[in-house]
Amino acid sequence: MNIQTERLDNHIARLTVEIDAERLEKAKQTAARKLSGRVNIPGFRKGKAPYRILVNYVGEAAVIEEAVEVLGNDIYKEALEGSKVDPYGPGSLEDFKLIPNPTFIFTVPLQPEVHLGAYRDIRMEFSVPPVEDAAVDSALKALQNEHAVVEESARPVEVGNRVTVDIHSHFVGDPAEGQEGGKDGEEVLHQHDAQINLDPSDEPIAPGFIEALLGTNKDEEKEFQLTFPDDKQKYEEMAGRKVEFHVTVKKIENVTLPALNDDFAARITANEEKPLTLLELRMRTREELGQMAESRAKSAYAQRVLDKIVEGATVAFPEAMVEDQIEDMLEGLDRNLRQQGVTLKDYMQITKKTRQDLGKDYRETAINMLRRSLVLRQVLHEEGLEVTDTQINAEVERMLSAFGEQREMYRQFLTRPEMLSGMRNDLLQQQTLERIGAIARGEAPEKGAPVPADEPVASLEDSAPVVSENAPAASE
Amino acid sequence: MPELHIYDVLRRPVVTEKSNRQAEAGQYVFEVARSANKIQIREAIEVLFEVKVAKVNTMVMPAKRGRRGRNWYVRSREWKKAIVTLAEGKIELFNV
Repeated sequence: MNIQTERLDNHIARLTVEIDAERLEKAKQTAARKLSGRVNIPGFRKGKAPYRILVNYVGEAAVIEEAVEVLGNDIYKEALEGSKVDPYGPGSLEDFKLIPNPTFIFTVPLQPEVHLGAYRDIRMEFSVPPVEDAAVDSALKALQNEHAVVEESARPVEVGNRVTVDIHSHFVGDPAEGQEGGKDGEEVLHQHDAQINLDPSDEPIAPGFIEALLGTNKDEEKEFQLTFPDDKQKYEEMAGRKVEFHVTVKKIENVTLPALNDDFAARITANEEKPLTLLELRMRTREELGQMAESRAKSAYAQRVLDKIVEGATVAFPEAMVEDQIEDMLEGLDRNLRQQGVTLKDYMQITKKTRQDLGKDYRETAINMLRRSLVLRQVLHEEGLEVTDTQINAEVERMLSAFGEQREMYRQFLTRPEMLSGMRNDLLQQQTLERIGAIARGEAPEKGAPVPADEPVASLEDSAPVVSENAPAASE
Repeated sequence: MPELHIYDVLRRPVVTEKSNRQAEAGQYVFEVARSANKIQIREAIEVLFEVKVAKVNTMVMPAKRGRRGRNWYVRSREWKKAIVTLAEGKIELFNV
């Protein structure tokens, strides 16, 4: 057997394998036996026709084709071993030549290759945005809302009420020339049983909406026209347009917010060890917001650094990997759609796109994701990061702690091998992202230094939910 | 009755599992004209395939009949089969 290896562009190798004519002859005999089992030749029972008669009946080409198929797998395996290429996925038989010697030509997608470049020299500025007073205020306001006293009101709509309404609305007049958007009469908002807080400091829908509703009784319908402000960012295609509303009020509720004082703070922290005062609650809220901001900033930072690393890295991968990635993404899309009760097929029909079109749309994203995940994997590899069983166990316990009573049931579910390996991957990815961040801040330990046993776990626990949210969806 | 020409004697070779096995032993099977006799068959084989015939066995294969209700019909006609044993030579027609 004579094997020649060529490397083509697109990270594909071409193997040219020449084999002995004898071997092909043998394979043809085997193939003929297989074929005769399938073909019905008059005068012969299946599988009983001799070689010559079969060849006369189905033709030499069919026999050779079958023989190539029979041989192909074996030859491919031998060729891979003989040529020492590292395949990423299944290769394909490109061509088969009979003359001068039986020759197989395979193309094999190669394992991706990643050269990271000087990723350890990357330094980027890291800062956590300070927590604004307004943010704390609105967090407290949310708490207030959560604990508000709501009671139905028999009086007409007043400012500060919460109303349940049916809204129908349509554009009045066509969009200005050269502008996109709905034409005259086209529907804008159509919602039933929408709950709206008539809070003047945070105007719902459009300015003037509250005013228009004021004084409406329960079960009364109100018609009015509003013009949206010319603010493209906030109102998108509604900006600057006149819209006619038909609103039916179905329920009017008085919302009484609890006063912000020590009592309130004590009440909502009543089941904690020591009820807090308002000041303490404020401080704690600020602290929580700060932690959230920090972990968000950290993960965004890690992503930025990763971008930088990807920029500096040379990544080569075969087309087949991109296809796989796209396939994964489409599967994910299908899963998402199914949760909304639509299948990918319906979706394609609605958007009038074929699978190819979708693939094309996703292609660029897929390539980017692929590059990132490959680079990430390489960093992981070069940094020699590992997740120990202790860490995984800790993670399992952390996840179980949320379940309380049923934790033993969930433990079984979580400790299934595929869940554990998924968790290991997630943890690895998190660790890698953290390491990247540490590198760019100049805080990373020397390459190959052992990871301190308890430190990563502790930091994972704070930031885990946020990091995983923002981490690229790509996985191996 | 006009004489049967030697090209009219042999109708077709019979290629089946059984005839195939016989061919390995130098016996070749043909469908022949219903009116051909052993002498005519021997002559036809010897002239057409340039071989030497040792003996000829013939038989009339019965028609296959089917019945639909009260009516009989012929599924395949009756035909004459000849098994020719060669003294020497080979008939390439059978590809063995």
